[in-house]
Amino acid sequence: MDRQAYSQLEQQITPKTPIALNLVKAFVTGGIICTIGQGIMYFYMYFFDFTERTAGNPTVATMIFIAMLLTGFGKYKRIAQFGGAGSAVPVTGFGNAMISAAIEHRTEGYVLGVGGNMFKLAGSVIVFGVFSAFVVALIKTILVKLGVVGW
Amino acid sequence: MTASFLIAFVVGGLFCVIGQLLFDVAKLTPGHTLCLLVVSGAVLDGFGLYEPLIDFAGAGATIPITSFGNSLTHGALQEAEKHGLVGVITGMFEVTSSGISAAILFGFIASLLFRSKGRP
Amino acid sequence: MKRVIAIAGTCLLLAGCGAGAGEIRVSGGEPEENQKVEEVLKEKDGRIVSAVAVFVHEDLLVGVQVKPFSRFSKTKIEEELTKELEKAFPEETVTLSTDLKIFWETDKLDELEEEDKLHKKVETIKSLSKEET
Repeated sequence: MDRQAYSQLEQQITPKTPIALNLVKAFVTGGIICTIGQGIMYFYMYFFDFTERTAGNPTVATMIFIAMLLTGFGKYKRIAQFGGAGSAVPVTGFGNAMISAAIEHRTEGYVLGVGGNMFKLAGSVIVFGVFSAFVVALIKTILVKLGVVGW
Repeated sequence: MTASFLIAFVVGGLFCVIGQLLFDVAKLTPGHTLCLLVVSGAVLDGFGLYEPLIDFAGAGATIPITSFGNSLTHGALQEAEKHGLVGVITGMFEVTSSGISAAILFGFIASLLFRSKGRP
Repeated sequence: MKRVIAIAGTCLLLAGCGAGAGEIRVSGGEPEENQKVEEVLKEKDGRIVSAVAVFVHEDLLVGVQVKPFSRFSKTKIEEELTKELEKAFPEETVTLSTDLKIFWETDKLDELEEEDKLHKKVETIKSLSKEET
């Protein structure tokens, strides 16, 4: 079997990714996660002294706490299978990546296993987040100094 | 109030649709997709567009990972506004995102509490 | 699963019906002053859903709820309204916010009778409205 025939056969056999269906699933999953987040946000605003601006931080932390429980009991995997990007794009997905890595590598010890592997998947997000924040802030500050834009 | 839940649902859902499009159509790995989203969040904040979005959508804009980039950039910009160019550099060591600290903390706690069930 | 959807649907329905209609409520000042605040807030009527304003001694506290699609320009609306109210009441310290939390807290101010608690609450509202992320 030559290469062309093989690739043809491969294309026939592999199931086509149903893009439309995946999009709907991602939309619904992500939407539900954000709606839960909105509920938690209102909880913090109603019972504690947080405004709409400041309630975001405890909300994110609580969402990651929920992600920890779901990951620990092995339920997040199922959500991820259904939701695709819908479960990966919210911070719960980021939390899941870090938490599952921490649980999985516990047998290698806390320092080398947990501490070292926690950032294996999520580290790139932090690296690019911090670096892009630096670049954006630098560019904007220079532009402001030159008088091109205001704050 | 009902409207804000609906808006959070739609906006949060749309962020995830963008993510899914990057998965399926652009064939990016999840890692690349998340990095791209974080960077775009930082850039949007540079243009001052992300804060209005948070005002509009609430959790619909703070829960997706793009808000990481936004909060990091926002911290850096705040320092820069106070101390000028030096502030960008010192600001970088002050910025934190509650999401990152929470993930580190709960990740470690989870490793104390839960046992790996082995690969499925 | 069906039951969950049913419950969620009912909750949404109830919440939707329970939401208060748009109104502007001003209290704590002279009748003319109250009228004036109402007029200023009504000018921007297209964007404001409901508002609560309370006069407490030297302070004028205003909580404003804007229409969902006007929320993009929340900061701008805040600035505009604060400026107009400051022009109308030069001797009062105007604290105006479009934040839901401020709206709730200002709404609760009316029920407080004791001077101590009132003063404390006013200070909390002021510091909350200044806070940023």
